Amino acid sequence: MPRTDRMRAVHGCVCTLLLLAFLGGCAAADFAPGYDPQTATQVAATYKAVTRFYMRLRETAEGERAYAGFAPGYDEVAVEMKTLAWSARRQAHNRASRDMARRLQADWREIEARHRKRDSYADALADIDEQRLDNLLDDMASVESYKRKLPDGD
Amino acid sequence: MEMDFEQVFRDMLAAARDRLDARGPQARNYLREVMEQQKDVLARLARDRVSGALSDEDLRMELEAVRADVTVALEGLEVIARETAESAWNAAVKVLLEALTAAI
Repeated sequence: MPRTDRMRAVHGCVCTLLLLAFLGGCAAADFAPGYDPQTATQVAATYKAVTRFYMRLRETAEGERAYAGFAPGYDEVAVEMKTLAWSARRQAHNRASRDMARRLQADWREIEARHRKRDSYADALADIDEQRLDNLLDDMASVESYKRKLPDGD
Repeated sequence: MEMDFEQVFRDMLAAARDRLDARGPQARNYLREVMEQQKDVLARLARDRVSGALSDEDLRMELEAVRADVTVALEGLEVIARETAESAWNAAVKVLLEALTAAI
């Protein structure tokens, strides 16, 4: 085959491959949220802050849990939850994680408001509240892990 | 080279079905996880109300909170559904592109 024909054939192949790659890019779907390591890390940080808060609470006798002594603890957890909500908001197609992060914040505000109003926090309520918060954080961690692509790569 | 599109389409469906089959259990597992979590919370609420550790007002507030928690937790199913649908579609498109590459 003359050199110019060979070059034309190679050129044709390259153009075809580029066209197929372009078509593949256009046709490939991208409507699922991607895995976000920052959100996953922040879920763990929030879990740790919640655990620390309830450990401190239980170290204090049930009758001596006036709100004022725990106000800084509420702020520490609120900062972690706000950071988590911010992290979830940054990503596209991420409504579920955003709503879960917002629900966590709403839960925490309700728990704090009740503590402030009653100026006490009973063990029975603390156990249930901590479990509910843990559950939501577990669910957020699960959702992040489901976003990881499987080995098939698509 | 000729391209049998009916066969290609059957292969596309098979590829998509494989992905749906592979990811189907994920939604079931997630739902089971959420239900088990709430079972523990509800059992604790019932036990503590019966023992008197919780008042009627506490119970009402906690049940309302559980309802709101479950509502958002179940949104996680949407993530799994979207990821599954995306994967199935992309697998089908990959088959089509491979067939086109071979035919051209």
